[in-house]
Amino acid sequence: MIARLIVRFLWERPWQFALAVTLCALGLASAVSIVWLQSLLETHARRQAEGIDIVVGAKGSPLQNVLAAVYYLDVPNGNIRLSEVDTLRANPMVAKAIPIALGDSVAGARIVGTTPEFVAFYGATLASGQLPAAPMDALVGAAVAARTGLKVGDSFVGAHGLGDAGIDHNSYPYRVSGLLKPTGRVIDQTVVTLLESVWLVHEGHAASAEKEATFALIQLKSPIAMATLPRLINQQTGLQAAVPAMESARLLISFDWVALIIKAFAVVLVVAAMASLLGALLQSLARQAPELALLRAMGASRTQLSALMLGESLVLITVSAVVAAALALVGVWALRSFALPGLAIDLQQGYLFWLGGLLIAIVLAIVATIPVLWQTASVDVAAQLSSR
Amino acid sequence: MPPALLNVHNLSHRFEGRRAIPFGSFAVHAGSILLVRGASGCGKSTLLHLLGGVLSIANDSGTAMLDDIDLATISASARDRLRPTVVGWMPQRQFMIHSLSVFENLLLPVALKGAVTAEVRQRATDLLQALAISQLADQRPATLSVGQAARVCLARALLAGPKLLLADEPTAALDDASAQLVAQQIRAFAAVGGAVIVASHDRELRSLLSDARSTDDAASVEELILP
Repeated sequence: MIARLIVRFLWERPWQFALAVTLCALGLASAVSIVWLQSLLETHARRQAEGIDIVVGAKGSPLQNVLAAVYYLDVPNGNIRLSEVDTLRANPMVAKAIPIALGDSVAGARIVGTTPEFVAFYGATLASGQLPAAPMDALVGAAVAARTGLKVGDSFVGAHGLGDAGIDHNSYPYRVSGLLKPTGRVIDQTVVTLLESVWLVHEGHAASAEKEATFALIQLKSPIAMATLPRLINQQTGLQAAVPAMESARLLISFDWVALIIKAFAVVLVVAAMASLLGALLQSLARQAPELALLRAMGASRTQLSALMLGESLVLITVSAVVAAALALVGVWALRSFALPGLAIDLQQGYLFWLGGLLIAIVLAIVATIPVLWQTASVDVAAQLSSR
Repeated sequence: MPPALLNVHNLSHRFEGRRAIPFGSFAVHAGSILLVRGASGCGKSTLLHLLGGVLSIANDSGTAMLDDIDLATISASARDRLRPTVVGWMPQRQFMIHSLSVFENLLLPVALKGAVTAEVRQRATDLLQALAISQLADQRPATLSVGQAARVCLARALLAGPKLLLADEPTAALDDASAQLVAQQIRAFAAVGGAVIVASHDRELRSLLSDARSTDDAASVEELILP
C-alpha cells in the first residue's frame, strides 16, 4: 500500500515532480560529468604518450621537449642530427627510434616530417588515399581534415612555425595523399609527411651540412633499459633524453589542486541537488499534511509514514539519477563529436562514477529527508481532521 | 448487562494555555449508541480524539478503559494500533486520499495493515451497497458530493469491523436522504453488537438514530451533554 501511495502521490503532482527531478538530475549530471570528464581527459593525455618511452631532443628543458614532441604544444629546444638518431636506433636497448622533424604548420596543425613507421606507431589507419610515397605528399589527421575540409588531391602550403603569423612556404605546396581515421591520439591533430619534405621546404633558409630531425621518439626493449638509457644519453651525449611518463606525471601533480577544486565543485553540485530535493519534499509535505494525518487516523504507523516520505525521496533520486546518466552520456558524446574527436569514452568508468554519485546522493537524500520525517512525525492529526 | 466496552472515569483534557475541558464519567456498552452533544467548542471532537487514541490522556486527567486497555497508560504507537480494528473513526472532516479511487480509499485502513482479502473486498462492496454509493467505487473523491463523501467515510470506519465506532459530526451539512442512510448504517452497526459514540450538534440525529424500522437495527441511544 505504501508503495502504491508513493507512486500516486508523486504522479498526482507531475509538474512538481518533473521540476524536482530536473533540478536533481542537472546537479547529479553536472557532478558526475565533470569528475568523469576530468578522468577521461587525464586518460586521454596519458594515452598520447603510450608507446613512447623516451623523447630525445636538443639539450634544454625535458618538459618542453615532451610537450613539443608528444603533445605538439610547445616549441622544440632545437634540432638533432639524423645520424644521432641512427646511432640510437643501433643501440641494443632500443626497439624503435622514429625521427620527427617539426617546424611548420597548416591551419594551426603541426606538419610532422617523419618515416613511414610513424603512422603505424600511433595505430592510425587510412580513411582514404594512401601513405606519403614522395616528398611533399601529406597525410592529414582526422581532426585536421574535419576542421580544414582538406581532401585527397588538395594542395596547401605550410607556414613557418606554429600559428597563422608564420611565413608561408609558397614555393613548396603539399599535396594531400591520404586522410587518416580518428585514433583519439595526437596524430589526429597533425599533418604527416616524409622527413624529406621538411628538408626540401627548409633547404633555402635553414640549410644544414647534415640532415637533421627535431626529436627521436624512442621505444625501448625492456624496463631495465628504461632505467639506464635516459641517464646514459644525458651524461654521455649532447642530447636531452626525457621520459614522457615522468614529465606528464610531474605536470599533472602540479595541477592536483585543480582536480581537488573540480571534485569539491562536484560535491557542491550534489549538495545543491539534495537541497532542491529537500525543498520539494517540504513543499510536498505542506500540501500532504491532511493526507498524512488521515493515514495516521486510519492506523498507519509513524514508521509507515516515514517509509512513505523516504520512498518519495528515493524514487525522486532514482529517477533523477537515470535522467542524470542520460544527460552525462549526451554531454560526453557531444564533447567527442564536436570538440575532441577520437576521445576514448570509458563507459564502465562512467558507470562507476555514476554509481558513486548515486550512492552519495542516496545518503544525502536520506539526510535531507530527516527534517521532513521529523515534521511528518509531528503532524497534528486531531487538528488536521477536525474543522479547527 | 454485559460489562461496558468503554469505561470513562473523570476524564478531562487541557490544551496548553487553556482551561481543562471536563468530560466526566460514563460507560458505553456493546450494542449501544452514545450521542455526545454540546455547544460548538465544548470539546466533543476532543473527547473523540482522546478515545480514538489520537490525543494522549495526561496523567492526572482521569482514565479511559477501552476493551480492557487503559488508554492513559499505553504508548502512542499502541494507541495507533487500536485503529482500525478496535476503533473505527469517522473524522469531522470528510477527508480522503485524492489520488486513490473511492474503493481504494475505503480499503485504506485494512490495506495499511496489509490485510486486504477477498472477504474484505466483499465486505467493502456490501457497505457501499448498503450506503447506496456502489456506483461511485471507481470515482475519485473530488467528484463526490458532501453526502456521498460522508457515506464513504462511514463505510471506511466500519470496514475493519471495529468494536467501537467514533463518528464526529457524521450528518453535518448532509441532505436528509444522506443523513438517514448514515444514521441507519450507524444503527445497524450498533444493532449487531458494535458500540458507537457520535459527536453531533444535529438536533435531528437522535430521532434518526432511534428510528428503527425493525428489531434488526434497533439500538439503545443515550446522550451525554457536555457543558
